[in-house]
Amino acid sequence: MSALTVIDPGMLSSVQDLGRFGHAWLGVTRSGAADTLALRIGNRLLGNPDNAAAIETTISGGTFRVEADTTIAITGAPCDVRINERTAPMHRPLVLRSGDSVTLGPARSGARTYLCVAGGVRTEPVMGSRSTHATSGFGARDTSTLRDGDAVPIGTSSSATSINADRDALVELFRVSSSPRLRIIGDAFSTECVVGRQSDRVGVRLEPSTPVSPPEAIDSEAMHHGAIQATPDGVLIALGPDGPTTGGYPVVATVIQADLPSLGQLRPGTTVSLISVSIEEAIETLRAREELLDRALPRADDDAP
Amino acid sequence: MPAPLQPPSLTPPVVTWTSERTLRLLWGVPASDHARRARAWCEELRASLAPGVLDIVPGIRSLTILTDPLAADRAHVQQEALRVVCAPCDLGALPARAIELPVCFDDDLAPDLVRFPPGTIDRLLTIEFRVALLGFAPGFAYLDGLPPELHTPRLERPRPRVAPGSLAIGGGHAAIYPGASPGGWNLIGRTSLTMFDPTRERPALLGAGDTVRFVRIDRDNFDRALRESP
Repeated sequence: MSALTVIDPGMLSSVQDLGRFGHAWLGVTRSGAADTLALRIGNRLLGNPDNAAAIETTISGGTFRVEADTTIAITGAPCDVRINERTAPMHRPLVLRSGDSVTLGPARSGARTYLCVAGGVRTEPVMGSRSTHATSGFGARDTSTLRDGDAVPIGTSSSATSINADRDALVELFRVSSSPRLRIIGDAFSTECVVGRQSDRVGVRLEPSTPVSPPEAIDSEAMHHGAIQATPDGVLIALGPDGPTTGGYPVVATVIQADLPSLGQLRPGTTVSLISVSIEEAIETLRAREELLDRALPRADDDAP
Repeated sequence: MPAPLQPPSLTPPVVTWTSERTLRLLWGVPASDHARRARAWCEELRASLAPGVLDIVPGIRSLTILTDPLAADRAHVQQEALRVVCAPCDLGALPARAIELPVCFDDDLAPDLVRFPPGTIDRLLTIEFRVALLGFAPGFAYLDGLPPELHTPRLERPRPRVAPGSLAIGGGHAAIYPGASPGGWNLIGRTSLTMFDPTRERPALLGAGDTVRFVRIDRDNFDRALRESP
């Protein structure tokens, strides 16, 4: 099997696919890409199934070297991409030769950039997923997030598939999905928040201009990606993909599924608006987004890599 | 003689779509054996509700169904969930097991035992705990049944790493840390069993509703069991 060598993982790089479903009742967190839309765009550009695993980098980017001829695509938070020393575009298939290195520069905005590979990252799946969950010991290299020198197995590139992207639809998709707002169901008590510094894949800290007075603690119940908890210190925590499966802080609102990718791109210091919508609007927004994605890039056959 | 069929709960649940993808059934007063019932409901609903249902998760007095909003028929999910939880159930047939956990209480494995009154170990060995729910980490089971005099606040500074198998008390619950993780509960012993292994057919040793007893083992047995475990 081919490999990709981690030269510099930056702040935090990990292998992620769409996540680990069906095991939450055992305490197993879903994990998966923080911005699943960016992951799916990258996979579709390469003719991969949506669920193929990729490398998620965080804010500072990272450097990687491919040890076989392959094709990659870089998606997510915008950054300068270099293949060896040449500048390369995002959101395009990039043909690499064995030994080429790819550097993702610091994200100009947003938080997470994806390095997708033709054939997908092929680490050993755990409970049906390749997603890393460091504290559970699920991930690439034995347990956890990527380090210098790690060799990450990747699929073999199929002969240059040419994907017909509808660039106009793709641009429209970026427009609707990159917005400093989160649509929510419920009442978050505050319409504007600043993203706090202690934000990560477990949760995004949303600091309201005036602290919220949270409802009483609750008997532990199911938590999930997008649930917004009110904590005793008056801030809101929007749970990320690595958030716990259960919790006892009251959930006051939930980020709609269509905006979870935006949640995954929030970086500390950003001001974000919270906008209440109805369940029907949430579903309609998601449906429209999925149609736009299908128009921009065809869905690949679903035989998992 | 078969056990009589029991009503499902003391009160019917309040049913709420807390988002476009999450249906929560919440009981005001849960039945005393809510965990066992919830586990049986999960198993039944998992079979009857696919496709569009991604996860079903019991809470202390709730059951939450996580769906794919574009694939799930919300009316059907809600109707089916209510049908299952409101059906009479045969408590004797519910899935629950009685599990004995070998625990070594040597000082180095029990750094926080000093915070507990004398006789705590003997007391613990007499208690039949019950798994309330799994959460926090894979296979981490919150155990009900700790007597009030052993309730002990969490540590002010959580440890960055707790060894797998550590028996711990946090507030009013006992638990075993299944894997190495940060942890703020009081460590009072360690089991030699592997609590969670994703490659096993049953990854989690404990399930909601199971009963648990601790059995004291000496250091030789503990060490040998650890060596022999896969």
